[in-house]
Amino acid sequence: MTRRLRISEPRVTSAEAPDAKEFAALKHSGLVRLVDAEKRTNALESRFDLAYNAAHALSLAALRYAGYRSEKRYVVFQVLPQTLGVGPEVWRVLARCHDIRNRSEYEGDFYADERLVTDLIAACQAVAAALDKLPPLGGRR
Amino acid sequence: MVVSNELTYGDLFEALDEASNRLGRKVSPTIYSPKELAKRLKQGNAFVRGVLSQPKLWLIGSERDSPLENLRAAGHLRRSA
Repeated sequence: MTRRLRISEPRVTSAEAPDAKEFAALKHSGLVRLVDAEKRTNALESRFDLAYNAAHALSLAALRYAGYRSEKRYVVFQVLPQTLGVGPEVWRVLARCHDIRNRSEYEGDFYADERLVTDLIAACQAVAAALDKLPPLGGRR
Repeated sequence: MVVSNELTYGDLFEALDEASNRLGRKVSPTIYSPKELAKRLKQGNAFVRGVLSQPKLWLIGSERDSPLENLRAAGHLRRSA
């Protein structure tokens, strides 16, 4: 399966052959965080951070699988329709959470409620499910 | 700002995608449950107060049908003229 990425800002991504070990590590990192994000005993803020970072790791895994790398965090969400074929109900939720994460990190203005965290986790699960359907990278390094 | 107990961000972004493409800009909705909205009002949240004090276009129903009426009854919001 090959998808051609069309990215309006070429500087934000660079072509780089996929690496099976890196892909597996990113996927593992995302899935571990996703499991912890689902634990309601954790604080809402922690669950948001875990789910956001899980979504980023899984989305980056998809971009690396497609043979690209990006230094801009937002881009890995923006190209999800191309890398995994998911729609706005997934990638725009993640992009929105990226904005919220930035406001929290850089301005100390954290806003997330149960609704947002629940939907972030659902979007993250959709990314994980789509990632699972990709054929194995095999011995590609 | 959307006040709902049932809608998800996924539902909303799916519905707003075409509008966002047509406008050529990001549409960033915020969903509050009536309970969360009341909490934000009590805390004096600037965004919530700003939105509620501005004119609103009701796509479905009217101000009288909205959960805002309950908030007014609870003293969290003043009736607009």
